[in-house]
Amino acid sequence: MDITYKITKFQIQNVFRSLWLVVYAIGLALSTSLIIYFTNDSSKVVVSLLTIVLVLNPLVSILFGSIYIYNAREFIELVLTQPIERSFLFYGLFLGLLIPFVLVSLLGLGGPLFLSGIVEVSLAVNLLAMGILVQTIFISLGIFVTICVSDKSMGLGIAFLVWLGLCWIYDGFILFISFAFQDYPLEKLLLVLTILNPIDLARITILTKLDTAAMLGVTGAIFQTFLEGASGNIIAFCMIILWIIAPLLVAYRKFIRKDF
Amino acid sequence: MIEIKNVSKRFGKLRVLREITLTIPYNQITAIVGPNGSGKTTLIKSILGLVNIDSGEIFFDGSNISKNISYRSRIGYMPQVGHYPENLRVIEVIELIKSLRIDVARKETDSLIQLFSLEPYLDKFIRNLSGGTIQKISAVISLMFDSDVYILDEPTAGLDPVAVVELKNLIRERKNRGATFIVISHQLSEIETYADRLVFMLNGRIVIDNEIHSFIESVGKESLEQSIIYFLKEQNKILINNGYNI
Repeated sequence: MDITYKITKFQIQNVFRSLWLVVYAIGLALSTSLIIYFTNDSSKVVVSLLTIVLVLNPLVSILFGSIYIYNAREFIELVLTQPIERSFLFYGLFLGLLIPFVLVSLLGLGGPLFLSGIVEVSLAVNLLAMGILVQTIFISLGIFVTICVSDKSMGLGIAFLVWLGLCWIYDGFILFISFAFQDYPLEKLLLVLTILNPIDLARITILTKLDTAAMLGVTGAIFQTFLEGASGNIIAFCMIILWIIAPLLVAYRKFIRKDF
Repeated sequence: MIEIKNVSKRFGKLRVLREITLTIPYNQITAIVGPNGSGKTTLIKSILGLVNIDSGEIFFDGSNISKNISYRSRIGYMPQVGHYPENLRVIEVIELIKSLRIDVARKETDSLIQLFSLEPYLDKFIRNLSGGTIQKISAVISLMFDSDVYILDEPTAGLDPVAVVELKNLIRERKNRGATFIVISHQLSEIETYADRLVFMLNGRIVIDNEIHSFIESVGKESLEQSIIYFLKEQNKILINNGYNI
């Protein structure tokens, strides 16, 4: 674990000095502050910030994560020629990417949110926690793509498609089903489909905590009942954790046997 | 001693190593030479454990390398082109690699930094350095360990003439202290001046494995370059006569 700590420490140093990340952190803090400044209503602030948390953050996480690992390929090779286990390097790479991103979210999103006090603390914590979990999922997915696809341009294309699929195409698919089968009782099917996508699950989890949840109709009421229950909460949490662990586990197994 | 026994490796349909058997004796400088794509880098990556071989075995001092990674603490490796985290300083990169091992002599690192005139660059970020300076960092990183074996992939490529001389002197000095070197290079005239042994690879096979001077003598040419060209032409003639398409 000492090796993992050393690699993580140097990685964090390297990632934090990246101009990209600094610009992103400032941009995040600025956009959050502007949203809070121009929107006085707590629910509206949360709904606006959801776009950053569930659309922009995942895109930046998956692309930055993938680019970082692709660019570090030769350095990974050099580290692997030292007498260290590959697993330690893998954990170091993951943590070294995750920690700077979590800190950027805490500062850029959490900072203005808590300082302004416009959103109830429990709701702000929920929003931030969900944002960090979704970010972790997309960093895992980024690592998964880079370990599985050796070609950088193809890998980045796939990473973008993964983001596009989970953020936009999946929603289109759900909308299509809703319209095509509108005469049938689809509430339970929609609930299952929503749980399967981490972005939708995170969005619904936050939305059902807002006063405006009543506007979501019958489906919203079903989601609310489900997510307020203990079993619903556990299922939702397990699904998000599964989305983090599954890609990471496959990437880990590939990394251990990968030819460099 | 490094023993490579019947090692084969494929990347998809491409057979990169074909049943390679080779013994690398200690306290010699073995030069691995061959055209691009002949399997040189894959061979050394197999020794380093970066590439998983499909079949065969590699032994380091009698121990199978697939069973234990500790043998790598006895190897110093210099990659063909060094790529380091661009937002780290030179000294941080050196410290990172040093921190992963325990067999580093502090004085050795300092004298290497001095030897390659890297002192002015220690606090500079990697992203601001030239290719030649990065190559010097690779040289320091590979040689700062008190290793038994050094594997250098195109060590002089990109280095300025002074650094090339210093590096070659260092290789000779370490060899005199008992170290073993495996050097990949395309510079045949250069290899002739400091290497003891030649391993020539072609299409994933070893076609020459001999002492350099014995090989030159056996071919009857003046230099290593001429000897290899002559040898390959003769090989081609034999293959064409046997019905192979070159």
